[in-house]
Amino acid sequence: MKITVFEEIFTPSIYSSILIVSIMSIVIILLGLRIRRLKPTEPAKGIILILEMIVELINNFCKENFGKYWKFFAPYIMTLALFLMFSNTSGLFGLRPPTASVSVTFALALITFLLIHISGILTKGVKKYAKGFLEPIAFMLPLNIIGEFAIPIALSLRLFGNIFSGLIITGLVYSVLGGLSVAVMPFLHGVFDIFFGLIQALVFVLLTTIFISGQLELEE
Amino acid sequence: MNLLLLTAEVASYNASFVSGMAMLGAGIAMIAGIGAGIGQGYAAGRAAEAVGRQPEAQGKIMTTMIVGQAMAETTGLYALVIAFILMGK
Repeated sequence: MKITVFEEIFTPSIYSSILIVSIMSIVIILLGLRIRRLKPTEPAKGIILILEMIVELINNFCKENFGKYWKFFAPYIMTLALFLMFSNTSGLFGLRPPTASVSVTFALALITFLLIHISGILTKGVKKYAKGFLEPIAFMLPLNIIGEFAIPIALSLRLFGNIFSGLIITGLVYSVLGGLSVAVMPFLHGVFDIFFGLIQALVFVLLTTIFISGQLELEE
Repeated sequence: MNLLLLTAEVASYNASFVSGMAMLGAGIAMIAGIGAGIGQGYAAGRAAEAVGRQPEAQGKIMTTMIVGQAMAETTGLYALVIAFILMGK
């Protein structure tokens, strides 16, 4: 009885997401050990240099959008970007993309939703945060609350719909063409896995950033 | 005996009718794709105009366009999810 439950939980999406997360953590722990041994006087080279450039890019992006709070949000943004980049393109390695399951994308959107409101409460204070729901007039309160709950649903369905429709279209073409599908394979995977996958990862990160920075009070 | 056979036939006919209508509904739901297509095309056209007017701001225009298009796409994706739900029936 217990085994069947376990198999039901262990769907292909969960399997590939666990695989991706574990591979990413092993690689990043190994790189972290290499960085710890690095001398600060010597210039970085090789993969450490590329990693430094990525971290610098994310830091600058966060400084532009979060102002003085950038250090709190930069780790989440980079984790999100790396996970989405690898999971959306994991179709290239024969895995089922984890983001083609609505539970994975909804979990990510829920983290963003909680982060939006917690950062709003922490930076503005409860009073000012609650007042934000009464703008522009008190009559708009129900609409504002519905609008807040629409954010995670729209975020998760956007990512899920894009990746899942790519998976379905690729599967349809393969089942129609059979053995001949080798001819269209590069085009299909190039469009649906690489192009749409990377654009959707960018869109998810951008929208997360925009929604969070909308709740912060930035002096400018 | 005859009556029992007839009811079984009617039941199977009803089941296939329901699944056929669900497929038809999924197709009709995807008409919403027109709106998303028009919206995305409009945003891309305006972005091209903006780049023509101010080529140095291409990066910022591109980011704004992609975010706007993702927003416009949402309604189409709601229809897609409804179509998937109907096809699963």
